[in-house]
Amino acid sequence: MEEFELEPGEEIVLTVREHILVFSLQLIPLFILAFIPWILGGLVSWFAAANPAAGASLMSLGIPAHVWHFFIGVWLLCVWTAAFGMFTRYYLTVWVITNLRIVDIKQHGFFNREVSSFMLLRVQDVTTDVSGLLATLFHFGRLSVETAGKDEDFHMTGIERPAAIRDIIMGQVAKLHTVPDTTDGGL
Amino acid sequence: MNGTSAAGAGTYQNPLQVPQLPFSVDASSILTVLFFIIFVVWVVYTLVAAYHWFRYSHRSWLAIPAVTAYVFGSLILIVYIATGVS
Repeated sequence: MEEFELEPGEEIVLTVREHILVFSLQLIPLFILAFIPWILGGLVSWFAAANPAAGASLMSLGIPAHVWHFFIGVWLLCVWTAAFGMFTRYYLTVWVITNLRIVDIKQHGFFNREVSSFMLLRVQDVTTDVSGLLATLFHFGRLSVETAGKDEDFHMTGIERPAAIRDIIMGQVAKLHTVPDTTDGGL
Repeated sequence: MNGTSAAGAGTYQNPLQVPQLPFSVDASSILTVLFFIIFVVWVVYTLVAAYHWFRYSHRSWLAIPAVTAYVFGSLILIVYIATGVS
């Protein structure tokens, strides 16, 4: 791991991301944007058919077909690049749950990355919230972790199986609390 | 006011008329320049994205397929754009 080093005896239990359906839903606007040139072309054709004089004016602009070809290609490249940027943000935003702590990594954009972690021993409460038809059907929702001594609430929205992840976190917390403290055992 | 209008009538220009440039510009050369600018921006963006994937994906198996798919899709679109330049 480049961003955080695992402590001796620490091991990764789980890596959590947003549900793939949540990411797919975010792609819908881009999918619609990809068809904008053809939608606009259809509208212009319809307008020209309805108003022959205006259609003749549009034709008199004389923009060559290869220029439209060029700009449609540029438009599609922009949409494709935006989709890849969204996928990059989706994939690099992750919670890494180890047997000692949770590392919260947020990729806001390129060169804009936030990494924070909190020890499982400080976890006081883990809350899940699954609301809505899609969330209930596809098992995704919000998971919030409240920690002691800090006002900040760690949360992640749209993660898959939030209840199962809550159980895993609470299981790890319980393990930590049941492990006998050997640091002062010899005294 | 009427005198002013009459005096300016000789120099009237249609405000909707595109002014003539003092030099001629070839549309295909503009497209060629635009194409190279877009290509350079795309190369920089791709390098930045690949850097993030290989640096921060924690050695995920998905990094290489994701970057490869993006580059492959982009190259198809760039070839498509290039055919519109000429």
